[in-house]
Amino acid sequence: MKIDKSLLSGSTSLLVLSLLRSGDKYGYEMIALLEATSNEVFQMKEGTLYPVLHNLEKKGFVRAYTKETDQGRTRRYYALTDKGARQLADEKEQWEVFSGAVNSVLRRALEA
Amino acid sequence: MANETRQKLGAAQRYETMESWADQALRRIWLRKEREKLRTELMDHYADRYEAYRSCGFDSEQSRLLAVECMGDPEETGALLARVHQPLLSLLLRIARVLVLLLAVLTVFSFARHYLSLRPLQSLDTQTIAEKSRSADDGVSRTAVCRRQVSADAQLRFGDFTLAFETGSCCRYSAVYRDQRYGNVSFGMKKECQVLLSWTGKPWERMPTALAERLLRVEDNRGVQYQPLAEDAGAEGAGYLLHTGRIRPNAWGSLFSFSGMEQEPDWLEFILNDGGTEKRLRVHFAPWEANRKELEPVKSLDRAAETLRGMKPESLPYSIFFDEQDSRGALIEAEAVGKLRLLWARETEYRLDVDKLNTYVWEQDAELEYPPDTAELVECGLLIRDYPDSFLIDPEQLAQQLRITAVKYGVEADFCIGRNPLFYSDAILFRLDWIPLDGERYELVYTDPVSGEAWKTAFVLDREEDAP
Repeated sequence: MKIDKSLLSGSTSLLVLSLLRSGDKYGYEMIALLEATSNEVFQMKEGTLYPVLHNLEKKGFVRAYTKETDQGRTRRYYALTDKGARQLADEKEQWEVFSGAVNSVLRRALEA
Repeated sequence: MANETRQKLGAAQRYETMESWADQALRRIWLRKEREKLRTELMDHYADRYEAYRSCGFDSEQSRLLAVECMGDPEETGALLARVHQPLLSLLLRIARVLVLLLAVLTVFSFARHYLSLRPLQSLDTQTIAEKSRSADDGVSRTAVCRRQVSADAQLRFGDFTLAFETGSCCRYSAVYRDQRYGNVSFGMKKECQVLLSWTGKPWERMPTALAERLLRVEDNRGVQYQPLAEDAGAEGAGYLLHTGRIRPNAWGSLFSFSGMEQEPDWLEFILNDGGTEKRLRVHFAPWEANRKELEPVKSLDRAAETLRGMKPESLPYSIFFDEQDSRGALIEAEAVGKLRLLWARETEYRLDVDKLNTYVWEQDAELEYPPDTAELVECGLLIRDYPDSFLIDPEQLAQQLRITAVKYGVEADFCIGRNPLFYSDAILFRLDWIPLDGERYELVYTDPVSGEAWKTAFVLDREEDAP
């Protein structure tokens, strides 16, 4: 099922911060994990991940560093900062309140 | 192969290589170092995606195309990256795009306006025209006293532009002219017609200049014809002189002024040349209105007195060059019966600087009657308060209504004020020249032309006090 872009755009930073909570990751790794854990519902255009990451880095929620792979390539990894962890908790709480309210309204509509 | 993948392959035609995708995405990042860093990261991501497709069994070409397609729209990515990495520049570029669009719209509108002959944006009312006439910076100070409305044909279409007559006003006023060479002041009556003209032409063409360049002749309702003057931008006929002005786009301009016209026409028709064809612009005049509100306030009576001192006697074509002045008069305040109050009067004896006068006469090459080398002048400042509507501040009329009588040795001598008193908003300054008698007692009389009522005030010059 194709999801409306506007629904995704508001949740992008929450999803990215969540992915980093479980450990440092690089760009493609995040894309692949996002697809896998969402049953392929979230299929972000991969180029647009990087503006999100760089914006989070600018705000101090994530930090970036380069690391050499076993194959001799260098990759850019992203890690969640303490500030990012607080931001994640805040956004998660907002999402839970929001999604709970939406579900509540939908439930009532169905019962009616 | 899954349908979705098949579609991706079909769609991945726009950017054959990741390099061209990255070039497009990063074109807005101006800083080289930043651009290279981003390129490396995007290329690494592409490489990971490419490897993933290869490991799924796609060949090299298919994997390449699919991986590029997965990156999405480079324009969208590029705009988002620019906002993060160059926020100010990104904002400026957006503003610049809006401005360019606005400029394009304005240019199209401007062309359309010219070709559709839309009305000009600027318009002036006659009051503004009169004020601009008064404040014109040409060495002449004016006091407008009367005006009349002017109307004309709406438009004249010439080969290269359209001239539109918007509105106009004729002013009749006393003017003081300052001679730059000799420093003396002369004074006279002027009638000037200010009109608002506008023109529309092709934007890339130069604006039209002088009306005089196209003027063939001028005619009026009395049959008088005015031929263009060779040197001046004007026309002369039957002893009357018309000075024509310049056309300025969307601005007021002095179309013409009158000199020496005793009887004015009801209309004037300007016959203009348009590439061999005659075009006519007829200007109609409404009756004169008296308008006190246009008069300038009295700023300084002392200054007015200075101006008065330089006034040219009506009987002589040159100005007085004062050598020494011996003021023997004094300030007089006398309440008049009725509405007029005399503010001050002064009697001055002067000696004529004959050398200066001779130089002036020689340069003008005229035959003149020499005045007496000493004479007495009486300068009066008459303050007017609470005057009735019938009291027209028209110098030509007022000069007929004001008279002054001097009494000496039991003999009364009656003097006309002269044709051109100097006006301010609540004061009239006038001078009596060449008084042959030493007046000690004077009487000023104003006769109301409507009611016939005469207002009088008497004053005596106290020779022991200093004049103001």
